[in-house]
Amino acid sequence: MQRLTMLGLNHKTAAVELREKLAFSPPQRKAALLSLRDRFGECEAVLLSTCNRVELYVARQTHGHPQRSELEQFLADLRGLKPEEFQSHLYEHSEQGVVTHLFEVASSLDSMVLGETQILAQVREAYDEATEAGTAGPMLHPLFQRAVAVGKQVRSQTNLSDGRVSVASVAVEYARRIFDGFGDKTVLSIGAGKMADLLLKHLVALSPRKIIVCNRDLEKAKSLACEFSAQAVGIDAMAKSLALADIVLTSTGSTEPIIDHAMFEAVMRKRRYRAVYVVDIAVPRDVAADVGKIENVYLYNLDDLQRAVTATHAQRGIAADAAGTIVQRNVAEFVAWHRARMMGPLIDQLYQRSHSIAQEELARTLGKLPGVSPADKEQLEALTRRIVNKLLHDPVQVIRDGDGSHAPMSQYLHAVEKLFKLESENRAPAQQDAEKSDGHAS
Amino acid sequence: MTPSVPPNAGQLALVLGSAGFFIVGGTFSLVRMRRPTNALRLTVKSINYWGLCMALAALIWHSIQRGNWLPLEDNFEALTTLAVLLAAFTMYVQRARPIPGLDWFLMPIVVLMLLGAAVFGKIVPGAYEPSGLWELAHRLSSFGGVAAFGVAAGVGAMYLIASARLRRKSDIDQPPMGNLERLENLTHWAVSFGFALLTVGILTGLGKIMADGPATKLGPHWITSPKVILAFTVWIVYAVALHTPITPAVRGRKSAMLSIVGFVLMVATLVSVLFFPKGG
Repeated sequence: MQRLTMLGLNHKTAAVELREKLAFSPPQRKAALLSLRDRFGECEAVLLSTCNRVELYVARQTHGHPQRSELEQFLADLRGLKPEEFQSHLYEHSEQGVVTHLFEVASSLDSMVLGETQILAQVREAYDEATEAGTAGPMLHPLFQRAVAVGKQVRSQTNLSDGRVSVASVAVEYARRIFDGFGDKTVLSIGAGKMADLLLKHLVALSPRKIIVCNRDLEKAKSLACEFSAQAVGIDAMAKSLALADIVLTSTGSTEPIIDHAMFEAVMRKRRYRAVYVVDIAVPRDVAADVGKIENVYLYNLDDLQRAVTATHAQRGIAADAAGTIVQRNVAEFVAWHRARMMGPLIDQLYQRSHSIAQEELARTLGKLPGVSPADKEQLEALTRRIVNKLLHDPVQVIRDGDGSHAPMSQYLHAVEKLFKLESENRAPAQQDAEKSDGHAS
Repeated sequence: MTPSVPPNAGQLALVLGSAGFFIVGGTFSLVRMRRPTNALRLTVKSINYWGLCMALAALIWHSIQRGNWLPLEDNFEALTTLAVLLAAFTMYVQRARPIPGLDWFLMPIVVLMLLGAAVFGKIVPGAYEPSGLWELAHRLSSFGGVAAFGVAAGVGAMYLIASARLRRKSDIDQPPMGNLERLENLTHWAVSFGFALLTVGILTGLGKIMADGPATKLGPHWITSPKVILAFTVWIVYAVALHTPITPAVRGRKSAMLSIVGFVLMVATLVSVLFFPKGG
């Protein structure tokens, strides 16, 4: 019997300094999943790693591996940390808690920016990676398919995403609070990815005098620069460009800060300490935190911007309530569906085995009682059936009605398996059938 | 010497009424930072106009009573004129390039000056020396400088708060206070204007001392009198603050702090001139 667990940290439990240490790039995520499979055998796993969260969803045998401590050690080993460095920032969910959490994540109810749409794509991406790596199985396939469906449902049926304050719009608002006009300002984007594109689209509305796109890959820089009639430069021209820029956006994939205090101090001297606004939306961060201590440098990282966005959450409380209702309804439906899927074959097997034993015993008894009429035989068979059914009725009912308040449903099922010596492999085809019918779940 | 004419009850009532209007206007302005409606904007504007008109009416009435139209002849007129200048400037800025909350920062200074005019004008009328164009130029430029430095100090304080909020990254859901660049430019403009007036004030003052020779009211050791020392200190402070665009060491917050320090010294100079014996 499989048990569903989730271990992770997010923007609510860990600052960006810790999150960036545990963050996984797409290739790293896939490698991590394969490594997990190698280390713990038949468990299922999906790794969701975004700017705001690192979460490992695992389905394992009830008393199997990996346990929480093993997952902590696994993450620590992969990221070159000690478990103590992040243990206190972790949260864990199991069974229905995992379902609720994942559905909330996919619906952006757990996001720092309520109503943001990017998380849904990230959940889907994490699921696709696990499918490619072969670590999503009969437990996690339907769970993630349903999560994506719930995320879509929330987007289409509520106003949660309408009028939301995005990180980009907050970044622009801060720019307006620092500068009076933008006709004489230069914007420098270090990095030419999706986020740079998104932020530049917002900043272009301010009509800055000049935009410079600086990137390691000059072709990518040229491509983005073309979109905004900007100047493209290579990374070697970064320091020179920094001295010209009044607004600096950084969004590279570098694992180390590319701008440190000493470098920026020199830049500020060249600028004669004119105010500069630095938006670092990279995780891990591109700009060392102490750069923000330099006089007239206004440094904002992703957490800062998202905290500002959070301040606007109250305005969308009604939409959030509606989204919460959708999530709860889906959690209840999914849990019921999942329970039926898991316990149906088990209960069938329990009945088949019990009736089979009863029939065997009846046959043995009838063999010792010559001259039993067919009518009597029928009566005895009916009696045996009734006894078996009545004996099984209460325990089966408890399993069916179990609300998980004493123990997770999987533990009841696991107990039944053990107590009645039911072979789990006999149910495998049934589970596979259920997996094929995942369309029902999503 | 023009005889000392303390303000009468009607003039005091006008000045106190003006202060009252500015207090109410400032309160509405504070509310407007949270609820920026057009109705509130018009309310604040009309209340401030009423306050300005009442202060001007008090000045005109006082001049008629004195029978002399030359301004700045005693403490009541000096402080009321300063308050009117500062209020008029604030209202002009709010009309031309509005800065949310500016009036809330500057109007308290206006209110204090008006209250000071009412209290000191009555208790210490302090009729000034015989007037002439030289003396008038000295007073007008000095008082104009104080008004400009008052603006610089108020806006500088706003800059410090806005900058601190941006550094704390906690201001997105708080009422905006004008952007840093506009506040810095306004501070610089006010300091430049005030500095020019102060320079004229100091030069005309020195000219008068030279013209009076040993008979100067400041005495033979005029160079060490508090008024002269404070005036030169203020001049140096503002000379430094004025160079902020080309002096990296005093940009931004340091420049704002300098403008506040300068204003405090300027007020000290003014107090020494107006109320201390042999101060002016």
